[in-house]
Amino acid sequence: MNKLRIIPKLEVKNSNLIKGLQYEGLRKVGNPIDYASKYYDQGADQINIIDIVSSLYSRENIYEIIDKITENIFIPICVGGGIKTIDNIIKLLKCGADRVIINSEALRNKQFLNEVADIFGKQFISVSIEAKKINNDYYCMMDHGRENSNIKVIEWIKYLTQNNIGEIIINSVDNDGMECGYDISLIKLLADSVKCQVVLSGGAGTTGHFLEATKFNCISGLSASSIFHFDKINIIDLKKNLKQNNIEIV
Amino acid sequence: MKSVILDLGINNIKSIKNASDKICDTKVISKKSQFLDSDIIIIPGNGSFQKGMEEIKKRGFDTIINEFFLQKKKIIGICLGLQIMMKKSEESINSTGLGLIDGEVSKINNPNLKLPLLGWYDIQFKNNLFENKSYFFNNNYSVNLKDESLVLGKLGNISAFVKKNNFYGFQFHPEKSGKHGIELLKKTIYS
Repeated sequence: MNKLRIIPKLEVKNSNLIKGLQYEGLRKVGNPIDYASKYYDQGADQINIIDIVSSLYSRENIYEIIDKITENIFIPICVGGGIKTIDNIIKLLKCGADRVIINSEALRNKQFLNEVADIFGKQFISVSIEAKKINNDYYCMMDHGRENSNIKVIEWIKYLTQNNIGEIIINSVDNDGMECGYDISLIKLLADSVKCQVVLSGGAGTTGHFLEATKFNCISGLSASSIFHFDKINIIDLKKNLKQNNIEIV
Repeated sequence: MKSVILDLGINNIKSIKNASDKICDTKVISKKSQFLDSDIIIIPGNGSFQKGMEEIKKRGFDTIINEFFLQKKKIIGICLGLQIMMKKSEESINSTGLGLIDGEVSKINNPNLKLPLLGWYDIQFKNNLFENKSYFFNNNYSVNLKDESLVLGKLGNISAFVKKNNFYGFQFHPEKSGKHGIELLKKTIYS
């Protein structure tokens, strides 16, 4: 009864859709609003939008972009990047965001997750993890991969699942933009019994990469950016292919 | 046709406003004094049960909802907007709901489903009321009604659509369920 969600991830800098490699070397791709409507028309199940500089600069750009995107798109729009306050969230909701994605602030201040849950409910929060392998251990990075929190991914996942966080999005910093496949060893950090929703992100380059990741029961969504942005595959064909392989999908 | 959306200050108002705008004349109000007249009121989703009830009372929306319900005028409740019609909720044991429908909100208990429900799930509607398709859910709790015959749409054992008189309650989000979600809203508004 759980259906796999296919989730294009749009990273936004100022007013541009951008894409990098391993969270660096960002290049402009185009207008995020155009890409969002393209993915809506192709049958995306949800769109995640990350403002990669809002923690450093002003947030006004992201509000404007979300406001425009949600005018004509009627699927869930989840927004992250530099969310630090309840006010940030209320403003995003007013612009039409459905859920928020929180990373750095949760690592700095665990209490923030409780504050958000008390007002909006636990189902409302996605915690994003930017996992980077350092000396054979995965660590949670902050501020779009720029800073190491020194918290191990495995410990953080344990905390989040014990606290019934709605969804965990695990991004591989090392595989980001590389189109080399999802980082399967990251999935293995999750117990198969994990109860919350889990989305894997970073590295998808072929339909085969999606199929490979669906073998793990704990995965409820797969996120990708480069292969959609650069038209290597479109969502219609991807879903057709997954269906032929008996994956439960909308 | 005119609809008024009750803004609780903790919701994504814009999606439902944009969706409803495409269907009929739509206004958003944030307190009772802004209410003039309407054919339909829409209570949107999201938020915890306790916070939702607090905001409803603070803004004087409880009187509008009561009046509409008793006069059998159309109310559309989405997600939390359905749950607050019940007497109480396991999510917030210290607060009471509007109690206009005899039932309770409890944590979903279905071994085949991960919690929260997040994503697209198939719904079976009775009497071909709406299209049996996948709709978008995002919730940990659902309603259990004393009178099961009011539940006209189900996701497995979970109440997905409740209708009592002219109250239409959706546990899922039609305004987030793509093009067929908008069709369902249209049908509801003009039924």
